[in-house]
Amino acid sequence: MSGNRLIMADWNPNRKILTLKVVFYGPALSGKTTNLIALHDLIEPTLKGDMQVLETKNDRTLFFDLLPLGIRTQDNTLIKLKLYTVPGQVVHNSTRKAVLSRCDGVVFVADSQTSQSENNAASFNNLAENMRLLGLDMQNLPLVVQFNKRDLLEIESETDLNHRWQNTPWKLFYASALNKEGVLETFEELLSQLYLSIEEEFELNSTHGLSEASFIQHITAG
Amino acid sequence: MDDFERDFTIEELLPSRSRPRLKKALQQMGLRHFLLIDLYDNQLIAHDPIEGLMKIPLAHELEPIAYLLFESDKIERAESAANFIIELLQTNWRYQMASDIHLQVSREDFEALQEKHKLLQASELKYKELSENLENRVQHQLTVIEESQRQLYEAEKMASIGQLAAGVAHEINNPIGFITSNLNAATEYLEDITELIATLVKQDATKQTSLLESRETKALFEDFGDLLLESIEGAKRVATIVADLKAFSNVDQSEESYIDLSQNIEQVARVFLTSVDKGVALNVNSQPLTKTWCKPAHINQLLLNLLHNAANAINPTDTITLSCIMLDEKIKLSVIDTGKGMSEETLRKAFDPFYTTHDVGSGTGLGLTASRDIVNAHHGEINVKSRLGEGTSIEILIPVKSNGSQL
Repeated sequence: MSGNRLIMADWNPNRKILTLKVVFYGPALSGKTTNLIALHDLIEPTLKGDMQVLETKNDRTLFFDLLPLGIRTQDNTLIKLKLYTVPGQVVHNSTRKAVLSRCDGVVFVADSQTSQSENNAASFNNLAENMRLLGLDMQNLPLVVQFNKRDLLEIESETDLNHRWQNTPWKLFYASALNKEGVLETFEELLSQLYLSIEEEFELNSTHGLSEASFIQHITAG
Repeated sequence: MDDFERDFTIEELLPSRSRPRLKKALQQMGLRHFLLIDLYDNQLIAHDPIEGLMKIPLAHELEPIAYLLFESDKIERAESAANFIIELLQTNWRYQMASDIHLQVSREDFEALQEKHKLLQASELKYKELSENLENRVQHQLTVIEESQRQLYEAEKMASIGQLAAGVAHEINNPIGFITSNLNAATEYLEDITELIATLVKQDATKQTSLLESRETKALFEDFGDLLLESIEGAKRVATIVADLKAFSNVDQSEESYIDLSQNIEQVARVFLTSVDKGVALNVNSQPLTKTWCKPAHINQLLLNLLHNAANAINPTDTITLSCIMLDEKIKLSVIDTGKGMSEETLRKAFDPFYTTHDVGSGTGLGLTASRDIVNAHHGEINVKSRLGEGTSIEILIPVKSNGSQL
């Protein structure tokens, strides 16, 4: 690992491994783990590890979940992508901060239910605060916002949400992770941003012959 | 501190303590010749290894972390053994990650707590210093207040002495005035007498007798005698006032005496009357008292204070009664007036230093406070009863002290 980098993107030239870290953030019970489970089922990357679900209590994540993915470039470089979820409950902020630390991208999973808008806002503010404390630049780090649980009835309308978020730099996605809908689209947008954010530094295209399209393609469909 | 995200080694995921049991399990699965090696061909578990074994990778996360070598005819058993080992590695991995992040979070929380603790200690120190300073400052202020209180007390005493002196000067001036004019008149009478004697010497006896028994001569001697008697009376009055004043002098150095305080009552009444307007109706009702050790000058000052307070509270038709009597082995002194009395609020504050209902400048309000101090010094008690429009009654009870000691 190189010095005091604030993000993970970590190039190990001896083993030819580039490790990237994406964190699924959001309020308690918004469907972060469900997103990860859906992704595990939906995508077929070159290398797919087993999903590691650490300790849970009443379906609530205590530490984190981890889904390791990997692809190989033409020059046999291994790009490892580690997908983490954070514990959403307010009390686990220290753990949440530790998991968020040095991440290369964030998927913010919000709960669409009208009753949850305050929790969403609190969690998003908590994300902003933790990123500030960890030295992560919220304006420039790859970040996608997903409104999950579109399958439920008492939810905020897309019109309202689009209107509310229109002046922010973040793209909005609508999903039903339980039904595996919208999860892949969210993830692909994140991958696209992630590629752009590291392409230049790690010369993905020029040295490793990896275009944005093939980066996404290899991760999602081998 | 280990990072939960680091790449774990096979040594960590398959600690040597669990290898003998794993080896036994692999044997029980039916493997006879087998090896478990890491990526660098180090043997982790070996059981009767032979040449030409087959190799299955044991994947961890995404890539092989170790290899299982086995006899080629046991491939199915070897595969299930490999799955078994992989599950074991993953379980250990999850456990290690959980314990590492737990340690990391605990340490960070602890550091944050220590940081908070430091801040708390710093602020505690600040408040401690503040409170210590506060005590010093309060002490200092207290000294200042006590000092100014003492000065005010002195000023009040001086004011009452001044008031007393003014009254006394007036009282002494009056007899001195008529004594002087009497003596002037007596001097003239003496000249008349000298002339009379010169005339008498030249006359015969008959003439002398008629001269001496004449109306003029009789009037001369009568007047002359009256003048002298009046002057002696006047001088006696001055002597009485001076004697009374002596009782009020040297108040601070006042000595303890063993006396009947009823004598003081008379004395105080006289001094009081010399220092207030004529027309104040003072009744004195003094009963003989048991002798007691006390500081008479202080008692005098106390009673005079109370009488002046009463004088300020009365109208011309009201009266003041000063009395003393024995009550259950205690000396009861009282000053009762029929004046305007005090409201409940005024009464509550009556003993507060500097509380006064008089105009600013006419009194510092130390009168009753000083009175109470004197009573306390004599181990007595002072009770004030008052009702607005009906007057005020102040009772002082002083226990009799039959042997002298420092009060």
